[in-house]
Amino acid sequence: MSNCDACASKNKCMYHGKSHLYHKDDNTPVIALLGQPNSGKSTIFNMMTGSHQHVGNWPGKTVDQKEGEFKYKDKKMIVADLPGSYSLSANSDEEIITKDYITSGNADLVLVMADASQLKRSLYMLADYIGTKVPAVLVLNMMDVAKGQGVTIRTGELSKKLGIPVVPMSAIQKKDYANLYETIAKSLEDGPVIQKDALSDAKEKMAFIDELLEDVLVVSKTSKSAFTKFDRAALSPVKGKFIAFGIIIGIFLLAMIFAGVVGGIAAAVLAVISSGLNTAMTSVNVHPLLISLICDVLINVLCFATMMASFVLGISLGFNLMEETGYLARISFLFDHTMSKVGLQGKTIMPFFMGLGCTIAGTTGTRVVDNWGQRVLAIAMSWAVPCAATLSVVPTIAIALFGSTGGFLVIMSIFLFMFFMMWVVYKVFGNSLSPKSERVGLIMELPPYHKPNFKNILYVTFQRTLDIFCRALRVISLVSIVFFILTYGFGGSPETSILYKLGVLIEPVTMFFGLKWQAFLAFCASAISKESLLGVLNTLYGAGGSLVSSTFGAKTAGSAADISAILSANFTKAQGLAFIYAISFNMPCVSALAATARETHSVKWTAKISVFYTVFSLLIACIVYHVGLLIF
Amino acid sequence: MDQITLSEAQPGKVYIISGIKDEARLQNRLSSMGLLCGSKVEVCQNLKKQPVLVFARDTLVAIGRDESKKIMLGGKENE
Repeated sequence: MSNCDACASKNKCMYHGKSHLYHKDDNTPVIALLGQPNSGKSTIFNMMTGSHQHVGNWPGKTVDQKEGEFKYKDKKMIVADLPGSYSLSANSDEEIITKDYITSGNADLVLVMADASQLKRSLYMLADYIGTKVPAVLVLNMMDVAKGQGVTIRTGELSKKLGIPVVPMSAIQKKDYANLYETIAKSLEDGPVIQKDALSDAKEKMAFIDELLEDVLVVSKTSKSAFTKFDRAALSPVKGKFIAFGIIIGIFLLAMIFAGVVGGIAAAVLAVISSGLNTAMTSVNVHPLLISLICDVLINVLCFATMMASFVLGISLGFNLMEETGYLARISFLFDHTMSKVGLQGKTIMPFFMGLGCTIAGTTGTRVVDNWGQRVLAIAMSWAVPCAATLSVVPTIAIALFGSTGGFLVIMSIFLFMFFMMWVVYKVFGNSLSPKSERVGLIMELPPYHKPNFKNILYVTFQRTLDIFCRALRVISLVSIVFFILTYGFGGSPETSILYKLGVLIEPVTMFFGLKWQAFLAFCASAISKESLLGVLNTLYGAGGSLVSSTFGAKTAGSAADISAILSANFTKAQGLAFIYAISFNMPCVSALAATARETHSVKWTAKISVFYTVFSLLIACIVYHVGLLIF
Repeated sequence: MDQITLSEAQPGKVYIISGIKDEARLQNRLSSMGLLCGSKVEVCQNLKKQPVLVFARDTLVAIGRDESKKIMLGGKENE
């Protein structure tokens, strides 16, 4: 994605003090957005640049770098969305990047953002900025919210005192941008700089803000308009949690329904295409290997990916809406005490829920966590949550082998074990990802509720989901083709495939984990899609059909009655239980791996965590099997 | 006047922060939220097993249980 022309090695460009994502020439001014999280910075960025933006990460850092461009009166300008940070005091990667970017003269103009509805606090960034001799404009966002709270601000007076232009606006309102653009154009010519020396400490900065606001903030905000009636309910320990769970479950169900509808349509359309292609290719004598590759593998892969993506889209949309309205911070507040015990923020409660539907949705959901280490830790822990596909397979096996009561107990044990698994993941990775010494407990503003710009959110969410969809599709196609070659029965039956030969060869080893070769193959196949497990077993135990079709066309292979008979005939109880544990706590499917690598910006950590899960799940299977042998 | 920590503060009352435990990270985060020695805070909600909710400098701020034990409050201002 990087197209840095200043470097010889385009892809390995280290940060060199220039615009990294766009090529900057002397005629194209760069405008940087500076603001605390929640200041509406991202909204302004998206509204200004629309689809003309690039997202990458700062070289060597795991912080998102966003740049975009826009045109005003036929003049192109670049906008850089600097990482959201609370100050410029160089305490975190975000702050260091932000400070360096501005002080090394990358920006021609800095838009300092402040929240008009919380002016006394949000001017802190401006107070921090003072002493920087780069032209600046102060943008007072959320004027509509401030007005609703009865706050009156004399912006003209404020501008006179500071010596730079002040733009009052509401970032979600398109009509407010004309004034902003005009001010930007004028300021690029005038170069307004705050003529004041840097303030030395926090006390001085506060005093400066108070003095600045003396004749400016005519009527200020009261605690009543901040801590509203709704918040009294939303933040109460019991009622608040009910509201939160209600909203989370609502989002979850809506996303499920949406994914079901889209997935159904996609499956129907693709089935028609697949059979049409099959007939057409057979009639012109295309090699059956190629027909199988296209009809069984690639079309089904496309179908999986579409279903996943639509679920992820629904979930992310819900998340983003919650974040934009300000409600997400309330969830963080409610669950902070619980989650802080495992080094996580309250917000991370949500990805765990979403993981029940799809691990990818849970993974993208961690985006709301602003600390990289905590985000990776939350993803790693959320992998332990069995996804909908796993949950559709496990009960069938459990009930076939242990009856309805026994099956129910097995499923309950899986959920209990899930918490243990999370705890293990926390113990193994917690300290390196979120070191105790670097943990800061919750100190968070609860932003005032405000109306989101739905169109903007829809657009951003769609873009991100498309990105994940494309990446997942690439990875899953590649893995699928490899798996296809390994499982293709060149002689017609599963026994003639390469994977069979390998499977039988290593059976002595896998039996140690309680997995017969068939079970082990199913375990491997589940990396492509968890739904395929039953189909694969069905085929392997001689119900006929090719292993390829059963891996990729899970839903069609074998009825529930068949599979129950097959399972109880071929698995002992100990083996069955080992198998259930192995597939429940294995790493997620390869699409989820691709999404994780995308979200964490780290292939290394993705690999580390997936190796851990694979090894640990086999270890558990081994223990369960040997304990099972003693019991049953 | 007796000194108490924020974790023991009563909701609905206004206090002045008289001291913050000497931890650079904590002090930095708090000051960027507008909370430092001498700042006026109004306690909105203070329940067990939940962060403390205060209103200061136009902003509703949540402060974790453990952190709230590191913030000392001085004179109570009844308004």
